[in-house]
Amino acid sequence: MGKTGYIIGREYMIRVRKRTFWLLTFLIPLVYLAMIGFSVLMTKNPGAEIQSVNVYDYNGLFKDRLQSNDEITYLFFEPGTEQSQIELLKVAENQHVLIIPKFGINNPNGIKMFSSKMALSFIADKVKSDIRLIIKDERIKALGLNQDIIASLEPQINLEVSKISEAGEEADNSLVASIIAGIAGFLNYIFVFVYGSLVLRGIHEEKQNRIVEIILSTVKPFELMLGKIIGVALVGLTQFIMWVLIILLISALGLSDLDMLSKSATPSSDLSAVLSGLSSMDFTLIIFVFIFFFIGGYFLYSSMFAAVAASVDNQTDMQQFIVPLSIPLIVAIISLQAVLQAPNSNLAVWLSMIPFTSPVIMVARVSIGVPVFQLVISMLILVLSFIFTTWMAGKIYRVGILMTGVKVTYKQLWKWMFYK
Amino acid sequence: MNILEIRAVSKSYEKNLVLDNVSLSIPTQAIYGLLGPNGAGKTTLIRIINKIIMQDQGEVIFKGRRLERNDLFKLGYLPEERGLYSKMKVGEHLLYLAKLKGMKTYDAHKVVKSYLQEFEISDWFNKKIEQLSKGMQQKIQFIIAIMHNPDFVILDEPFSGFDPVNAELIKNKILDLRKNGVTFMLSTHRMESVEELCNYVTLINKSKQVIDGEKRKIKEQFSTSTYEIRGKIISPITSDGNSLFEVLENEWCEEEQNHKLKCKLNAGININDVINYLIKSMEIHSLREIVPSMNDIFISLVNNK
Repeated sequence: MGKTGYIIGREYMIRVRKRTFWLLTFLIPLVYLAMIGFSVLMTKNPGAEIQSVNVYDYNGLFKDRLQSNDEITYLFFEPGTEQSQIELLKVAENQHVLIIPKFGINNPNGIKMFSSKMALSFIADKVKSDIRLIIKDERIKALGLNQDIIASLEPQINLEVSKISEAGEEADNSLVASIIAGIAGFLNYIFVFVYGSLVLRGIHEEKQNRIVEIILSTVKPFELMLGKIIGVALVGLTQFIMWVLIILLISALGLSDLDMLSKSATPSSDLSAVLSGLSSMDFTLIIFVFIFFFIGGYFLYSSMFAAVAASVDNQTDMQQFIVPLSIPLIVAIISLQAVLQAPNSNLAVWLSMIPFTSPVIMVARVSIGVPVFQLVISMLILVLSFIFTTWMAGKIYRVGILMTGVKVTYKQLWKWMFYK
Repeated sequence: MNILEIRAVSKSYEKNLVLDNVSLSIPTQAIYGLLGPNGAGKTTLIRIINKIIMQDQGEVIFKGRRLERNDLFKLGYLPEERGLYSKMKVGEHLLYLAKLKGMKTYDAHKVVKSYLQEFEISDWFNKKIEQLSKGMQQKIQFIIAIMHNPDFVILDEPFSGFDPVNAELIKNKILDLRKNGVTFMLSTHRMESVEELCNYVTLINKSKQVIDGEKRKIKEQFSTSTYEIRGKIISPITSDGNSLFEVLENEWCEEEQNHKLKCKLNAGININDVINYLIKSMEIHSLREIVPSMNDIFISLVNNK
């Protein structure tokens, strides 16, 4: 490991001490958490500010029955004075004027609401729903029906979905699992591409500035290539581990809030389902598989990228080889949606076995649930494949890295593999 | 004793023969000139010695046994097309390469600092390579080739890119190291460097070795027994009527106010016989043998073969 160790060390240090590395390391989790926080806030109260609805009720039916909550405050005014309030809306914010004209409960027409600028559609929906419930009550009362009997007619269905696997019965978490699967698959796609490109650029730079001749007078080409690939992989792992730690740390700090949310949520609410879904997932397995397939996929692609970078002289020629090599990875990301919808379809199974697509597809499938034997076979195929591509890339690399001014073709790369 | 021997080494790429049965022996403490026109196969030979590529046939012997990968720690190399990691700092770059050459961290630190001091560039330690001029980078590259205390150093065009002052600095360092037991292989097209520094040379042309051996002997071999004699001619001297030499040139030199006579000795004739003959017709001021320069030998060999 001696000399390769030094190469790994250099490749690692040179990248880790860059400002952009630390910027991305801290920025990505913060952006991620900010996005979650924003979406939670948006579902809770998109306007953030409490909306004030001034009600002019000509029926006298709604006073004290339109209930204020943490999103809307209903204020009741004497009917007939609404015009001045409507004028005031021009300069107000989060203000609304609701005029309920006199109507028969069987014909509730002519209800109007005026809003200050930036009025939000969810307010209209909420007000409509509140009015509808009161009119419904009135109609029940008019028909002389018993409220409790009517209420008892509304069945409360709690559909508890479980999936049966060899491990036994488990709570269903399909929604959460799909989201996690999508994120994991996409993240691995990005990781393999980003870090593969780092290897590509690093080797291209070494070839261009000719430092490689000095290095190769001490280390074998394969050691140099492997050192670079491993060094960059460690940078990727460091970044991933940092992200996990930062997210865990921030989550731990905000855990009491999450706990409270979980308790306050009714058993049938979406939030509760998400939280119970999250808690039922095997994150240790997911993270292990993610790291395994990141390393495997990264080795597979970066070794091929390394061979290309070592062989060609300029960026244009490089693209000519990199684009076809990247197609399987792009196929994987395009198929991800279909795989999430049918994680056990033939397409999903095949794509998670083919080593060029498995780093994205298997990582996604494992979050949803995948038979152990499929996972093991996929891992085995990936390991054998990356050993083969790394060996093959090493053969091309050792010849290509010293060649300059040669227009490289696929035929030539093939020949280089068999050079002594 | 020979520090390095190349025994019948051949190398070809596909059907293109780049080195054809090349053999050479480099004595310890020699400065061995590796000469040849562009594309002759010099770089291939250097890469084979450095184990960057493998020969198809033949072997490389280092200190009496087959050269192994571990021996590379005792080899220094300054390639012709050299580069450095532009984003690294001078100090860390040197340390990195010193460690790759098998030095312990502590020793590497010591040696790097001492070389930077010797070359009066200590204040570059924390400078990024990209901040240095080409000439400055050349100095760093030269240090890289010698800092790990190698026994055998290959320098490919070591003086290109240097101003005369720094070229002199490098030359003196080479001579200094040689005095301390280091052997050099110098690949260059600058024949004045070969004349000045090398005591052994080999010439490779079109993948074949054309000549090899001690520079002095090669020059003798290419000697044309031609002499330049200066002085005042008392009576006319011609090639006719003497069996000793042929007059190639005979002219009056206005500036020095004397005659310049260029004579080529006939086979088996000693210079003393010529002097005895000439002394009757000429007042001799100076006499020197016209020895062929390495440049002449290089051109004649490359053009003839």
